[in-house]
Amino acid sequence: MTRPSSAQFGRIDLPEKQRIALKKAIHWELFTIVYTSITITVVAFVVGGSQAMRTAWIEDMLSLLPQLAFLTAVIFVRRRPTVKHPYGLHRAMGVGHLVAGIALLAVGLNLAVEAALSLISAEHPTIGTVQLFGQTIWLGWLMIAVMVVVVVGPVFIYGPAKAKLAPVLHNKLLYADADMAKADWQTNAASIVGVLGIGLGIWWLDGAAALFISIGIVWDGVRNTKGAVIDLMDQRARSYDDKKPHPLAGEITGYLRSLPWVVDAGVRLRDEGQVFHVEAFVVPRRAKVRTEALSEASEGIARLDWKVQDVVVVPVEELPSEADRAADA
Amino acid sequence: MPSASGGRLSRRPDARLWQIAGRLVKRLWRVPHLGHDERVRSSVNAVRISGGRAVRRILLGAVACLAALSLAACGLQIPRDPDGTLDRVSGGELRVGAVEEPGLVETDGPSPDGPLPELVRGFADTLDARATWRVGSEETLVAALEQGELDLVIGGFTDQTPWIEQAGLTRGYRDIEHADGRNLVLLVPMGENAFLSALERYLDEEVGG
Repeated sequence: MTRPSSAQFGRIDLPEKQRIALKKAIHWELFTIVYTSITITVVAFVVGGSQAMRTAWIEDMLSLLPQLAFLTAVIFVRRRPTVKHPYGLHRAMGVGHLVAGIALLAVGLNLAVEAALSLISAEHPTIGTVQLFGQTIWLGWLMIAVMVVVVVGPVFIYGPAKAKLAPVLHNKLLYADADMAKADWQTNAASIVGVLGIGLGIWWLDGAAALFISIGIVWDGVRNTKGAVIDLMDQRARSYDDKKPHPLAGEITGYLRSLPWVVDAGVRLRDEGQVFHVEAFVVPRRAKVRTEALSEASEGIARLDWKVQDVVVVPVEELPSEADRAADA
Repeated sequence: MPSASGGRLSRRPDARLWQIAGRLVKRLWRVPHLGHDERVRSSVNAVRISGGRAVRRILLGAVACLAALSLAACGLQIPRDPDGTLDRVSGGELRVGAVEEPGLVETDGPSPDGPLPELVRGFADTLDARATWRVGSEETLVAALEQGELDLVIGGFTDQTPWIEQAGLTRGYRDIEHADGRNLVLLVPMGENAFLSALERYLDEEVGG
């Protein structure tokens, strides 16, 4: 019924292209952690009394979560399936995604409430001066300079790099991470507006900017939590950006229908985080089915794409109504 | 009031950091730096990673920022006070609250005396202002500062003062007479950043950074 070699369940060895992409992704994640740590340290010097700067600073710390989740998950994903964990540990990616999403959501809400309260209580943010090389300058200028400089990394360097790798690896955590990095300029722009507002004596601009940034964090949290939960709940597999059902369902049913002994076919395709778990249902032409035919079909499916090696082919009298017949593909 | 979660941890983490950084810079300044070529090469590599279009965007952004900054620098005085304290005090009255603190603020005489009141009088002079005094307890004077009845409160306040939620603080000054190792701060109304900056500028000149 299934693939002959039991060790093949759940792909842990990647093809060349994906192996290189994964290596690159790990390097970029490490680079991001180093870059963000430097950012956090530098911003710490200029946080001052600005609520917007403080919110942006905490956001920088939160932005480490997806990388940590990814790097932790990578360790587990490589492990072979065993009797205890028959599907392998691919779900580690989804669990990491969920944890990062919840953390973003919780802290984002907290920051939003704080920003709203400071606006309501009309708290005037205080930013004084600093002495730099014997000159006394307003700290606000330094804040703006720092925020302009640190935005380069996420928006121009590692954000786009990770966005290119995510589709190759079909990794939603990496995709969400890249997506957040690319949107990081909004945070920096908002905090600059907040600080300039303070400089111009418009005290509420700072709180408003902080609110804007924290709503952005909440939104990221909602999106990531939702995506992770839905995948952990075994929704039908979708593309890496969740925009459409994954085309592999159509390819698999198409392949099965092309076999001479198969009348009709449907699949249940679930996303394990980076690879898929496939249950393919086939309605055979005759009542008797040779086990070799099933094994061949299973191997044929596995050849379609690197993501599908955990395949079960089940002969049925009638297709289950929930099975994906890829009618919309 | 900010919520409890903000707390004191992240209120002004920069104040202490600046001190540490100041010391570090002083020490590192004597260490030979990277050669010019090395620095250029590493920045070229960083740019190469991001590709041509990104470079153009960075340059555009930088130009836009420079333009904005120079505009701001010419046309407007930044920072400004939301409640106009500096403008009101200049050529007028500087209302100061003084909390008795042995060695720093003596309140026995007709008007407060000691190193801190002296500094305040000097500051008032630079603004062509006349200092008027009110002596009281910390809580009374800080409340008056919050209500806008005072422009400045002095006493034995340090950069660890719990009044940070009610008042703006100057940077800490160690070299005030009788500071005895304390990092002394003066309290100003929250958010009056032009006034605060003018005061810190004056203190930097008088008692160092």
